[in-house]
Amino acid sequence: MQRKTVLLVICSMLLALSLMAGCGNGEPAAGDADGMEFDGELFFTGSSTLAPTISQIADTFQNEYGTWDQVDDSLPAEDIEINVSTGGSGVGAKAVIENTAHFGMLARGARDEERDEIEDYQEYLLGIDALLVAVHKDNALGQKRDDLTKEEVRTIFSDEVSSWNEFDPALGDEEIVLLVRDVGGGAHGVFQNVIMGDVEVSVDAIEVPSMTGLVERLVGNPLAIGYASYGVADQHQDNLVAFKVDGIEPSAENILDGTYPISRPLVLVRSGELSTAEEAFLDYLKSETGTEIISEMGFLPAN
Amino acid sequence: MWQKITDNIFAVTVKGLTVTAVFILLFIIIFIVRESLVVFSEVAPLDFLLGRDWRPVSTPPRIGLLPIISASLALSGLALLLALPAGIGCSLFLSQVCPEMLKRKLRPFIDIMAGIPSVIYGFVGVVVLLPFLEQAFQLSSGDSLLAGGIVLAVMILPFLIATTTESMDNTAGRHVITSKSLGVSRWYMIRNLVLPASRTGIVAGAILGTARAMGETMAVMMVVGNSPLMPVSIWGRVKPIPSLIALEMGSAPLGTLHYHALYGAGLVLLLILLLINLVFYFIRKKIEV
Amino acid sequence: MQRILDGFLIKTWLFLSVTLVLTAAAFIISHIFIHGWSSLSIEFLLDSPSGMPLGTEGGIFPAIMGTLALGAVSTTAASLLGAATALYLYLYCRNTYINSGIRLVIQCIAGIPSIVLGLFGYTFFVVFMGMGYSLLAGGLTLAIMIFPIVAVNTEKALAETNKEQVLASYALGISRAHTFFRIILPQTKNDIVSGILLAVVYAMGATAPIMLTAAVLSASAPTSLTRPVMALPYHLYILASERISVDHAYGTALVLLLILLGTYALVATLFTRKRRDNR
Repeated sequence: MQRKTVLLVICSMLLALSLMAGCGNGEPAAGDADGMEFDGELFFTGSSTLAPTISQIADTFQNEYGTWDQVDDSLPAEDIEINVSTGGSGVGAKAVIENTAHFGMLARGARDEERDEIEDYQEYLLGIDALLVAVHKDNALGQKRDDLTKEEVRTIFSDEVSSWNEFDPALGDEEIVLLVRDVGGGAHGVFQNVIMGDVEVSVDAIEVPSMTGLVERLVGNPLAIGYASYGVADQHQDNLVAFKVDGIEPSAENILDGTYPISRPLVLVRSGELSTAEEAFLDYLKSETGTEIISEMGFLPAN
Repeated sequence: MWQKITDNIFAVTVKGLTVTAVFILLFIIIFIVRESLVVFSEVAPLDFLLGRDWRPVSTPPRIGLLPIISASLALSGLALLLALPAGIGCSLFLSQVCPEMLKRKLRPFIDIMAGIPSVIYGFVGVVVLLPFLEQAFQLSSGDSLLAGGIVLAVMILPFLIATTTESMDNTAGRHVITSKSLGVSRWYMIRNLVLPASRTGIVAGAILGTARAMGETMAVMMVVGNSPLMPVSIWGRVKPIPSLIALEMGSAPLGTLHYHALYGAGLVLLLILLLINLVFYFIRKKIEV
Repeated sequence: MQRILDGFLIKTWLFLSVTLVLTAAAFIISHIFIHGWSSLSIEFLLDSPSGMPLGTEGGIFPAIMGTLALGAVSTTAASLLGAATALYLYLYCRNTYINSGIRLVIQCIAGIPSIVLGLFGYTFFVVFMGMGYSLLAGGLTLAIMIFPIVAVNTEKALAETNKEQVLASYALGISRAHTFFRIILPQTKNDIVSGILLAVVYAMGATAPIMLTAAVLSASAPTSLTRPVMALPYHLYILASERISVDHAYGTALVLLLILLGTYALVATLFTRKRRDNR
């Protein structure tokens, strides 16, 4: 009986050890820049604003080439597989830090902590997006005014006012439904820095886990106000009304030359040098097809 | 000879796998505790549990779980409140009134209810319940504690019914014969004998349901609004612990305070469930005595 | 008078309760069927998602395959662990403390909320073990989640074996392993399989564990253990919460429901009929 127990314990320890032995260097098992077998997969994750665009471009890329060797002779004849996930810019940064994705999609500039954490930080600008302070076309404030100052926007989004008539006595007494991104969203950080400053967004605000969701909700509620991505809102033009901020209209020119204050870069971040396949896809993103899709989705391409 | 070898291999495999399974649990628990402990080096445990502000990425970060914990408790409480009357009624029916044939048809139906995935409950909640609440009560947005409570109530019903029916079948059995022989009406028997006798069973089922409700993630997340506010009204939005973890984990990099705080929230959830299960255990013991 | 009133009240209460419960259940299932049926088509089942934004058109084939793959991986792992544990308790364990201890462990694992398992799965499988977002990481996390179900069901199945035959077998000097394979297994095979199938169903419907370990917005059908996959529950969640396409959401929900109900039907017909003739 004793011998059996010993045998048993040894076996289980071996089992446990073998589980640990597969132990992480923490790199994604798929192809990596330093000469590991590239198995045809690229994984992007991050911003919910960028994700649909990247998926779209990836889809076109896959359909156009089929296998990697069609793209570049030096690459293996593997099926092109570009996987996209989402969750917010924060997810993208985290994934690159923890090496669980090849690229992180960010709809904001990378934070200092993120740059520090990412080994051999690389960044690629894809385009520019902006945050519109928008309401439903039937919203009372939207029908009355077309311009808000930064302070006014700040007041509306903070705890200071909770119903429309507290902001402007001529409006009704319905509650202000604030739509914001959750803390992982790129827009959250941008809005906080540019508009809110030290003032916190009201605790009553509805945190929507994706930009697309935010805009959908905005379109469905005349009492709501939120910051919508320029590109995403573009797809709902007829139902939304955007305010000028400090007199500046959120037009393409103003966004590009920086006069409109709440603009944000759309970037891809990664750690380390690009592999051949990654470079090929990146080139495709910046090519005519890629740029076209980026503008079709409503954003302003980097070129 | 061969037999001996196969026998040994078999024995070792079975035992080895069993030990692995046990180790897995211990490992998970130790892992979670370890990852959560970091929070407590930055935030005093009492502040963590009772702090009223959850803003882990502001400067300075504020990590207070009270609204989140209260949300979880409030949701489960509400769900129980809504589910118990129908659940007990259903159990009574199945146990005392229902003819055997019908019972056999109904049981699988209820079991299937238990097997419907959380997402689907959440989805139906989003497309049916939320618009309904918005229309019926003139709300600007249906996401609310109430919506979460309703969805949870429906989800825990099958578990409530299963546990309570079983308990009633066991305890009430002996009353049936006595009542019948004394000519007591079925309804009198139910009201005055079965219900009181199965009281402990009902409580046990309720506690089990609460535990289940507290761990539920998806369905709740989709209808509850996810604002980390104290649950002061059923129309308000709340953010229970599972939603907190699910929504914020994706953007909290390993090693940050936020990340450890989320693990800490997970630990708190586990401890609450442990507490609930202990109570359940002691009540079971009481029944058996 | 009091008695009649009591009887009436209780009757109403019971009647209302049952109606409420049955209506709720029937409503959920039928609602999905009614609204999802129109989305079902060969293209929907066999195409990948497309359209702008992704998911508004096309199909959900990769998600279907992903869900099946996750089910397969998790069930394999969970069955090994769960069946082994149940077997150990049935065949080998003579010590009551160990017996209760193991049962306690199983109960504890069953009690861990799926999101906490997902959290653990992320930190341990995805990052620490270097699996990345992958079918394997997701499958293993799911395996931990469903292992208690397999263990408990296998135990129940084993408890129903004909004790006399087993004892006779031992008395004749037949080893435990041999007894298991020749006597116990044939009797309990069906019940064990049905228990495993029920566990698979649970795994395929779960979202929280795979959200952080395997599921992505868009991927191809799974060809390797080390790549991320799409999964029906996660896809449904994304479609619904981001309001990408309600029609496709219904379709996805319906497909998921059909897979689950189909498996239940399979279990009910194929694996439980013996109940009537054996006891």
